Amino acid sequence: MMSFFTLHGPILPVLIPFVSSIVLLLAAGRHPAMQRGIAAFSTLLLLAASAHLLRLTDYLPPLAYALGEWAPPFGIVLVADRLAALGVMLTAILAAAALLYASAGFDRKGRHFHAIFQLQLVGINGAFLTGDVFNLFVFFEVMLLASYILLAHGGGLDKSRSGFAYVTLNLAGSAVFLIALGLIYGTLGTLNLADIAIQLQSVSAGEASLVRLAGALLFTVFLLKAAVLPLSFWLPHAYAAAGAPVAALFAIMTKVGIVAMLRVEVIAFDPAAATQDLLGGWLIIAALATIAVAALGVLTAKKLQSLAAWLVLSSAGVLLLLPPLANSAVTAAGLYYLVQSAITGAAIFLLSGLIAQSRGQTGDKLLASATAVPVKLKIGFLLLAATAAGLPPFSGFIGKLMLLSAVSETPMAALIWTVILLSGLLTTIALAKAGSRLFWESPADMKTVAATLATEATPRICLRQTLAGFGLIAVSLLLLIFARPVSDFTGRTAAQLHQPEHYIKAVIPDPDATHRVTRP
Amino acid sequence: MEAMLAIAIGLLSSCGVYLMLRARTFPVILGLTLLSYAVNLFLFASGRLTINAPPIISAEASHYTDPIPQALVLTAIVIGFGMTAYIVTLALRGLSESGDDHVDMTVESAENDKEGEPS
Amino acid sequence: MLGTIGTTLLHHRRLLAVVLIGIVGLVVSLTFVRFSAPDLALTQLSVEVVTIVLMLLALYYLPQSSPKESSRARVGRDILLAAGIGGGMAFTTYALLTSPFSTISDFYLQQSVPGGGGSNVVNVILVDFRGFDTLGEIAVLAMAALGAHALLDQLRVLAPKHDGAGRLWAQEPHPLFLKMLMQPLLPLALAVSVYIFLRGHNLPGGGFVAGLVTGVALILQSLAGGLTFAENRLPRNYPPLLGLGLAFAAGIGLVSWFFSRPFLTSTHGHFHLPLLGNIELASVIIFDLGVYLVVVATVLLILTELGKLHKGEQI
Repeated sequence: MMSFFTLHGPILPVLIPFVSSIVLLLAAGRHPAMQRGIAAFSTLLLLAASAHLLRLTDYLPPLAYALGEWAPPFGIVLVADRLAALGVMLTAILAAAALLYASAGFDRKGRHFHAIFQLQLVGINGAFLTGDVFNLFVFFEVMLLASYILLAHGGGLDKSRSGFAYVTLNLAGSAVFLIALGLIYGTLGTLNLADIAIQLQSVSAGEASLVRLAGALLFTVFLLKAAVLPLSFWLPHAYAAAGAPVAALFAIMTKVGIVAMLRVEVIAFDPAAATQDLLGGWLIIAALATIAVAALGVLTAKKLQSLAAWLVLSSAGVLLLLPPLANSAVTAAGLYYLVQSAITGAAIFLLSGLIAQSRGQTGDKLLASATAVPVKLKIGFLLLAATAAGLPPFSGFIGKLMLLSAVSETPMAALIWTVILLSGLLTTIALAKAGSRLFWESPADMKTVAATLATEATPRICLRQTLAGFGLIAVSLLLLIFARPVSDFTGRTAAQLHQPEHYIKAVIPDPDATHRVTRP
Repeated sequence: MEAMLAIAIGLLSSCGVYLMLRARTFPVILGLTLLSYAVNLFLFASGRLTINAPPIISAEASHYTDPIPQALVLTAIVIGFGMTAYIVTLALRGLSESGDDHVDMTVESAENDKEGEPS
Repeated sequence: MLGTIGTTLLHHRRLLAVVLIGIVGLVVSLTFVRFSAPDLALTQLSVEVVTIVLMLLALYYLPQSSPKESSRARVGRDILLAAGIGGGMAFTTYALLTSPFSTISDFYLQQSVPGGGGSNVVNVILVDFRGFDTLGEIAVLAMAALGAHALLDQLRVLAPKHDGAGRLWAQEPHPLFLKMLMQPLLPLALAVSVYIFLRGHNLPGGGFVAGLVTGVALILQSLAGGLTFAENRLPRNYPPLLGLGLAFAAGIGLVSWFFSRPFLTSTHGHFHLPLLGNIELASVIIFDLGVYLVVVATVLLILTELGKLHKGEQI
């Protein structure tokens, strides 16, 4: 007899935020303090549930949770393996920091912030956990609609403008997703990922081209979410326009696309002969091009938050190397890089919000300002910049080093090395330039300084915001101190992922028992 | 029958794509609606076409059409409805803040447009 | 099909385009009827009605016509791109439709009555076999309503006094004819929606369609009777109603935990009730009730928010 928490463990990360969003809606319009309390309580529960799931998956085989007790592939199934648990844990950490930051006043700028925030977590966690491709579509939609609303939260011209383009693009992406699902169902007759993997093994020659088209379309959608070039033009605008805490949570969203892609490729498409060569050299080139463009973007950014958005794009580019290489050692290193880049990216977004606040009207524009930035923010920026640029001994350096040594065995190693190292160099220059502009340069015209100082009230930074920003910086340092256990875990995660038979067996123990009919 | 539906889907999607490439929000919304019709029909057709065999269990019926795509399309229609409703309000919001209903990627280009055309 | 082309050609004249897109939607739902999908046809039809009302309300504020501003080269490029995609779609559809495939769908046809307790297989899939999808779907609906609420909350658009051709908009807000008509129609529409809701598990219908019918009936009522009239009679605060709907759907799913079953496990059985006789009840009816509530609240929230916008002045 399994305990309650083991039995229901896989669904808790989805249900906890869902139930709390319901409670938040039922209490809508009343007691803002109570809303914050509910949201905070739910996020703490989520942290606990994610940690529990992470521990469970580390010593158990993948856990399959059949909703409605309908046996897979007929019902929807959630599958908690180490990769899903890692994603959920990362989401919970970022959510806690973003929520803490937002509760200093950002959440009051518009309606329903907390309910939508919780539903955003439902979407992200559901997308990490589900083992059914149509259900993945549904959770992607939940995640995206929540992100549109959070993007528009607080209003302003900037947000509505980039909002409309972002929504349109993603709706077109959803249409492509549905076409891919229609093709998958119309050829393989199933929607369950494990069952798809089984069916792909016996695709007839006539069906092969349609199946390949389905795979190509599906990967296109994931690439759109993961922001690969040339589908990446939405990211810098959208992320730079979002409020700081929202952007910090968004740092996980490109990762959802990459994890979904990695899972579908490694479990279903890579092992099958018909679809093995779908992802190949072209995606590696596209990923490297994304890194290169992102590095130029980092160099030319005019605001700290856009700089952070370009950094997110750069790390997305690096992570896009994982699915086409589909190699256990690369995945292990890549997952460590994923964790540390998500934490660092989110921390920079929060810090840029703090710096903007402390500089009054100049905000986070990379210009000299009359107001001095508090020393603690300078130190925080220095730590994050060093991590993001991949300077030793910070966790960014460890992540890159592990990744570079893992790819050295692969065919395009020299090219990958060159691009990643050059991009690191450009990022270092850009961050150093940004830091000196932000903190040490003083404006040329002293008259305006006096004028602004006279009109501007001393900016106040709330303790919660500082705590949120430095909390994430602390997590990033912990990733450095505990680099060994963390990378051991990502190693075990990669090993489990690259043995898809474990995943398939957990979901469908006896493939022959599934009753099928042929339809004309 | 199959060919006709295929042509209809093709036509709906090309008109949808063309309208989505326009520069104003309203045609873009119309285009998204047409595209979603096309996609829903396609997803529905993935269960193949059957006439006079609705998936409602009864003693008289000898065979039924495939119920899964129908359930999937229902979900897709509802989600599409939610998205349309949201994007319409987003278009209105953009209108009230900028005075026209242009689609722009960046604020810079919005400012350029305002200089170009008197509103 | 002609409607589609018409919509594209006439997108510069926006009102006409909306009417035409309504016709296209109608044809799509007729296609569903033809190919044995009555549930889809019902849903498509009712979604169509609400979408058109929504677009017309929005069109009231947006410019009536789109200026022709694309350059010729751009139009040519776009037509080429669109034709390519359309051709690809048509080809793919044809290739897919003319090849056989093996599917798991027989399970649902066999298990619908013994396992799910309903003979409308599509509805049983939605509320039972794949109920988790539906839960996500109503979360999307609820969010769309909340997002619209948040966006339109502080927004006041100045409503145009003239239409595109310079004619004045009629100032009497509530046509007498509509008002007379709606008085008997509203109870009728509500009765129809209850009927559609109840039969959904066995015949075409269900919570979603019933919710849309109720929503449209109430909206028509407020169009006929005026906004203040409706505001005095309808609940003012919709977000808790959305919460209630979601709570019904998720709550019934959680009940199964007390029987050590996974989330959303359903049950059904025969009950003998006085007056009604022997009827079959399934626990998923509570789930469907949640869907119904979310849909009604969503439609009312979005449409009344849009309707409220022009309470301000006219220019």
